[in-house]
Amino acid sequence: MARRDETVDLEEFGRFSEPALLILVSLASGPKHGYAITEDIALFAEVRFGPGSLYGAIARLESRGLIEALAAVDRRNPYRLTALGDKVLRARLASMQAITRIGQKRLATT
Amino acid sequence: MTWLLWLYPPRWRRRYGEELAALVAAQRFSIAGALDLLAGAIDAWLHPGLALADPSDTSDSSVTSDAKGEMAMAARAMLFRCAGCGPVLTARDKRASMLIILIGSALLTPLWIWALFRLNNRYMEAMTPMAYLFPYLLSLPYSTLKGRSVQTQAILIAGLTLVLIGFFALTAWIGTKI
Repeated sequence: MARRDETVDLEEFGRFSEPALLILVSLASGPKHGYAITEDIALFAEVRFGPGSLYGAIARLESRGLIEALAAVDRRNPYRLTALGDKVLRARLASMQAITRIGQKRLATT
Repeated sequence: MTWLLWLYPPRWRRRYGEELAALVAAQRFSIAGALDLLAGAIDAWLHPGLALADPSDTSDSSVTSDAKGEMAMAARAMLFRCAGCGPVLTARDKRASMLIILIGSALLTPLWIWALFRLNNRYMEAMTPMAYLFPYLLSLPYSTLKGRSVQTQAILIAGLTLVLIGFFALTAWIGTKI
């Protein structure tokens, strides 16, 4: 079901967790359709996901209420971040930031 | 490469088909891209509940968008299981699935060992994992394939069995050439 609570963990998406995170980051700058998301991710993360992986992740994000489709433009649906998606992305980035900080601190002391 | 989209379930194609086709058409053909689509198609068949939401579906104008949202959520609630989005499994399903795997493996393993000694065949030897994998496939109607029609279950189980047999036969054949 589309769980609209704050317990969504992208890790639960298994092999789709990485594309899911990058899609959320991409949509943080505004609504985009599939092709634009792929190009954006390729630009900022230097990773190009295949269409199967991309839409596998999009379907999961949509089913969990983290993103939503807008009205179709030129036969393509743009997607945008929902409030829940925004919250989950912020939490995830904060957690990654904390891990990065700790990792860098530990590396600096060795 | 757009022909690969026909491997996706009809519901998935209705929901994401056009945009996926646009994305695929914008890319050059590559083996990696084709394999990615193939894996995506398998994933879509294994998780039928993922493509329930259809923002363009306005077929029932008597239903408000809020009500549609509630209906979609209720439908998902029935179909989804955690993030895997598979079917809802009862304790009975899990028991049935586990018993099929255990009993099937317990029966097939000694039979396989006996056949190996009798036939001493390289191909037979390569297919040893089937003693576990075949009972696992037979348990799928109580797990991943629960809720699918008997025909779909039979096609998927027979198809996967043939693919595995083909794969193991291929490894045995490669073994004879090395």
